[in-house]
Amino acid sequence: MLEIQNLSKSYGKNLAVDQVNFTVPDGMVGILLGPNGAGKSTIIKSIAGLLRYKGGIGIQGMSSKTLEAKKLFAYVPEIPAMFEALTVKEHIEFVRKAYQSTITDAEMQALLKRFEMEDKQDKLGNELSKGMMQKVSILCALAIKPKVILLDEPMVGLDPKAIKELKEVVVELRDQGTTVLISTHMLEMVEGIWDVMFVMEKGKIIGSYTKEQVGDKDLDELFFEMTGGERS
Amino acid sequence: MKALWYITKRGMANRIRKALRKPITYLYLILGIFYVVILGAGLGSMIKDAKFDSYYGLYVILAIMIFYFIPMNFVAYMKKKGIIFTPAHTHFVFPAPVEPKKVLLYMSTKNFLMTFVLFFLLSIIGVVGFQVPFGKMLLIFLTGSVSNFLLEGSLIIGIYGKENLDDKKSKILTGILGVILALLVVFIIWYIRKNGFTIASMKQILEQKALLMIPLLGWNLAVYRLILFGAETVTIICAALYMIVVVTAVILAYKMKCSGGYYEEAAKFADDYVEFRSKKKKGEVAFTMGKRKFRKTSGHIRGSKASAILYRQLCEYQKERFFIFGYVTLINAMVAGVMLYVNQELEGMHPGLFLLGLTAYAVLLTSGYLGKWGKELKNPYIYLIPDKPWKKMWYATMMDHVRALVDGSILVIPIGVMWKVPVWQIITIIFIYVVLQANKMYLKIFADSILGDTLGKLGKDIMRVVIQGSTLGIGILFAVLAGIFIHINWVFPIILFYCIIITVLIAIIAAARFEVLEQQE
Repeated sequence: MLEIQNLSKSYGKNLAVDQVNFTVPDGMVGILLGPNGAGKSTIIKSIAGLLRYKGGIGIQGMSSKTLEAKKLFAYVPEIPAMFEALTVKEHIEFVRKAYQSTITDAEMQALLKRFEMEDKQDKLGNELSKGMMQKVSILCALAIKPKVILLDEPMVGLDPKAIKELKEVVVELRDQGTTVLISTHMLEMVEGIWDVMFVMEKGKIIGSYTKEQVGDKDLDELFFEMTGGERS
Repeated sequence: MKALWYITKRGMANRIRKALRKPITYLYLILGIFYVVILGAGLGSMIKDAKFDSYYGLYVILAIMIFYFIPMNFVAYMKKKGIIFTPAHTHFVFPAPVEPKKVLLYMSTKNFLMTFVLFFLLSIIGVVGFQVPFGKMLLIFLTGSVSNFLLEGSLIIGIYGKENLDDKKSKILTGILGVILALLVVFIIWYIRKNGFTIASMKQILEQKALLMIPLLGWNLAVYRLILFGAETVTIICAALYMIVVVTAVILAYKMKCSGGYYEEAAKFADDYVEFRSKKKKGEVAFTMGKRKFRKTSGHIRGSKASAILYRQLCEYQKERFFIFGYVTLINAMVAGVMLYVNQELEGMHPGLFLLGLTAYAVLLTSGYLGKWGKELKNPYIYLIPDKPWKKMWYATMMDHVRALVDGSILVIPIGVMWKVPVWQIITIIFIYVVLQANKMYLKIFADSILGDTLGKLGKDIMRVVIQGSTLGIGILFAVLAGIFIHINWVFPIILFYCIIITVLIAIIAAARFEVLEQQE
């Protein structure tokens, strides 16, 4: 479970996130939507422990700052950044060591194969394309076998096959009881896999819905209704 | 921590393996060893010449190190710029279940290693150059590297890890320390100029007992004084105080709570550092990291086809804080200022020729103009502009010719007037400056297009200097011959016209670089 309580974050005098509260229960996929500058990235970075903030963030009932909580948490940032001199395999190995992950070699190889990275294992970080970096980032997050996973614009740069696989992986994680939070602009990519939705604008949550509440309503339509934007 | 060492271990192994596959590595290695040997030999004779080859020489070096490096490191840490983080750390290390204090210590390994190497080299110099007995030197090495590691590590944890460090207070403290450091540098320069850099002059300052009583810095020096010159009451007390500070700092750092609040600044630093490094890689001069501020302008861009490049650059320069003036302007102004201040009489020398030599040296010294044009070749749009490649190159580099004209005038006119150089010679020398800078610029494009990334920046720079030196050398030879056999005044126009011819030839070849984006990599 991921709990956000009274989260506020300012950059100087600019209040980027204002008293945000939401919860994504175990085994559910939450999506965080909002126009540019709404504060999504600030929330994501705060959950990942990359920012100072006011309020509380809980992972499986523990403060997100504790090492125990961090062990259960995986993060896929919007822009992946690799260690230039480490190979794909070594990135995954680092994650296995740092998180003391129980993932086996066979499971890892299966994941590499699934994302068509089997033959790229020995490539160095600075030899990878943006799309490949994104795949490595996702693979590293999955290698943790997390209880809570945070994906920030995960589909950007991925090829259609990888997008399909990722969507399937998200559903599998949900079915295994993992909490998933996805921040995205690509609404059509999360259609069909989400359970709870949080819409942000100007640093605040302006609406949250469950799948049942929305029914057959189009995600695009709902989003533009709430944010006051126009469909293109 | 094991996982963090894994990154270092594997990263280093991969880097070495990759480097060993490139033949250029061996060339750099030979050059590096050669450089260290020459430097070592030069340093040895310098120590002897300055009559520095005694214990006291080492004591002076240690004092300078303490009074300079400790405050400098402290300021860097206070500004949160003392440890190098990369975006990969933000991605993989910060969210990982690793204690933030351990991350700090791991990230500071490079700093600790540098101190260790510094003390190791100093130990060799101490035994060989300063005749310090091995036992004493070993003790200095151990106390120096270990106490520095403990103190610096604690300091890093104390500064970075402190969650509630008031930004205002931290800025004030950094400012005060910066001022003290600057005053110290000014004082040392003034003192050396006044009394010379000799043992006797240094002894005058270092023998002041008050110096040892300066908290931390003086106390640290007292430890080395105790080892080198034996026990004295003040030395023993101050050395003991230093040890107490180190132990207290370690205990405080160990007990301090840190949940990783510093990751915010570290992540920002990582992004800025990437930009800084990429600028350096391209050969641009980057003085500071972080976001640059620009002035507001109308943003109106004139021109059509290739000339639009020129007007776009002009618009960008208008937004710059110092317009077209850059670090070359500053260096030239400083050189001119120093020459005017020194006001050296040129006994028996031809002032025009001397000024020409000085100008040519200034061109060699500064790394050419890598202003706006340097970025043009990276932009795909330049290849899409429907115009001839040579025109694109001309307009892309024109602003930098103007900059060279301004910078050259700043250097040449004041010195020329002071030495009473005829006006036509001053003008010719300014034009030679402009052409030589253009020559460097076009040679860079030329080197880029034929070498690609095979030799790296250093390799390309070496090749550029070799080509420039050999082609322009012939012209200088002709000019000297004309000067000897015809008239000295012929030197100026011959050099100017020869440089123009060579530069135009290189420019014609380099223009091809502006035709297609694809180049040899």
